[in-house]
Amino acid sequence: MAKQKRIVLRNCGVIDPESLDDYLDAGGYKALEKVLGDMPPQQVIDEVTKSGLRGRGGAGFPTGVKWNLARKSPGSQKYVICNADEGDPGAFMDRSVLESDPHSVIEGMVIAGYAIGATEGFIYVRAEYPMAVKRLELALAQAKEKGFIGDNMLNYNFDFDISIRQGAGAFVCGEETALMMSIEGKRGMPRVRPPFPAQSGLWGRPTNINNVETFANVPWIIMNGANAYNIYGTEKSKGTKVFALAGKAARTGLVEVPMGIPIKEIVLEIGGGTSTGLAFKAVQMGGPSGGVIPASLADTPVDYESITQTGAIMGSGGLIVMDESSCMVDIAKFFLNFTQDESCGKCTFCRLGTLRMMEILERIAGGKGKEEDLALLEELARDVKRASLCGLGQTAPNPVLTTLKYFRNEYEAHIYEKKCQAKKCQALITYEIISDKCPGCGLCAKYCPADAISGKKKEPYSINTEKCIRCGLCMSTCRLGAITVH
Amino acid sequence: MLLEGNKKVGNWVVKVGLASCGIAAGGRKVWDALQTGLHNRGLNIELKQTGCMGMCYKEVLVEVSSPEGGQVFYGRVQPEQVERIVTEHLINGKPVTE
Repeated sequence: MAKQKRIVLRNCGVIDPESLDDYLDAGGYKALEKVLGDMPPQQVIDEVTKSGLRGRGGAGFPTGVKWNLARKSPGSQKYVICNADEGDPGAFMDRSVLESDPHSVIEGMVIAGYAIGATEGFIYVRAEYPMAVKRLELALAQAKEKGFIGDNMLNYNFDFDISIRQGAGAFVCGEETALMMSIEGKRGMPRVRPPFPAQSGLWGRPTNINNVETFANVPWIIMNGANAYNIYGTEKSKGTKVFALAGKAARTGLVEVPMGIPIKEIVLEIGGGTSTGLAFKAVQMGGPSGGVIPASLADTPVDYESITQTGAIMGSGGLIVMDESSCMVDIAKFFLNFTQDESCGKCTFCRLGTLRMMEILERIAGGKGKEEDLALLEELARDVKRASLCGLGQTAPNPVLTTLKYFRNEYEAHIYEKKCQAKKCQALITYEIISDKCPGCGLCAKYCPADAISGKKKEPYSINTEKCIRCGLCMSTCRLGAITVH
Repeated sequence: MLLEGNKKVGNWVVKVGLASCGIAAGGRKVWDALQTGLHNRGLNIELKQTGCMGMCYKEVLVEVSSPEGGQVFYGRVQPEQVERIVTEHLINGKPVTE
């Protein structure tokens, strides 16, 4: 806890998320009152700009600048959208904020609406978060009842209403232009920018879209001042960031740290190293758009620029810790499989390029890799990046490129030696019972889902490698360590 | 598992983390056990649900704040252990140590 600075998570785990009174007791909606009573819209924008807050959804665009662009765009009807789609596998920062402190997001949205001159807001939340939807609906009803949203709120001449739109399982709808299409009732497919949403967004009107975490920062910044926020962080990356520690971390969960903290402090000190006790090998940051950063670069400070320089991206905050039992080819395959599945299909290079890349990776993991595969993989990766319209295609090759950059030897071992050092890729490993250690208890045979183990009681059992599906259940079942994997 | 902290509170308050992480770990059963335990003993102690405390690896998390201002966190709480928390900590004032 000592290394953390909980700004976004200030109320999470402290207040009852279903109680407006709790939120008010914790200082809730005071920022909104201050803004409505005391701060003209431009001043609000200037304060947010001065704080240095950058979009926490992953792209890191300066929030105040974005708000200013929306404010300056001509038009009487403008919108505020909260992107609560959180599609990255392993990320749950936004989910926790929505479930634990929904009013902070609502308050941030209303303040944004006031600043840019919008009267309507939408929270686009993924349907896979039913509890978040439930708590948001409750919070909105409570806020409306007490006049924190709605017409003539708090008796100031300002109207703002918020409604919820649920996603329907499409990762691409986390991309802002596809998200807006989805709200408009169309198939979620991205479009070219410019024009940017701040100029022409939802139904062609100026729209400000921000991530959940970005909005949750706003009330705190307004109450405590921009300078209280920008003392944290680095020169270009101010404030704090919430990370979801997952994977093989010993202490998985949510942490909020000042920007600039070295990766190793998050992983080894706050995260407690690996849960398995095996050596820390790498972290995966930024979800399917991100990349792996090897343990050798664990001194890298966590800020937008430094992380981008490694080849990965900061992303929305998913931080997956990997140890020696993680296979880098397998990781690349996992993420590429995801993005390939989620590609909307509009751009040929994304639609087909990622598919061809997947085929190559599956060949490599299956022990059928060829010499020319790596060069082809890299060429495809570069082309997909260049020829894709939206962030999904532009970043889908990142996991492949970063694993190739830092762990090329693993790919080569898979291709030339048909070996998976991490013992993960099923086609390249075999499980074997060590006869000296096996007392013939038959437990493994009982649990084997493929009926691949046989033997006589009190005599060493053996595994039929033809039937074996490499699930590893036998090894984890055996209490005597008599099963090993090559 | 026991962790200590300090905060000013006037009464006994028991908080249970009930965001997705807590519920997935069995938080509702712990909540029910606490509710039953407090009711059976006729204890007028506030039982509150909260969201994610961040220490997801230690769910189910229960926080007990005493009138003097001390704060004790229990991690990996099982419904069967609630009885001890109610009798030893809430009634007798002594936090349970594993």
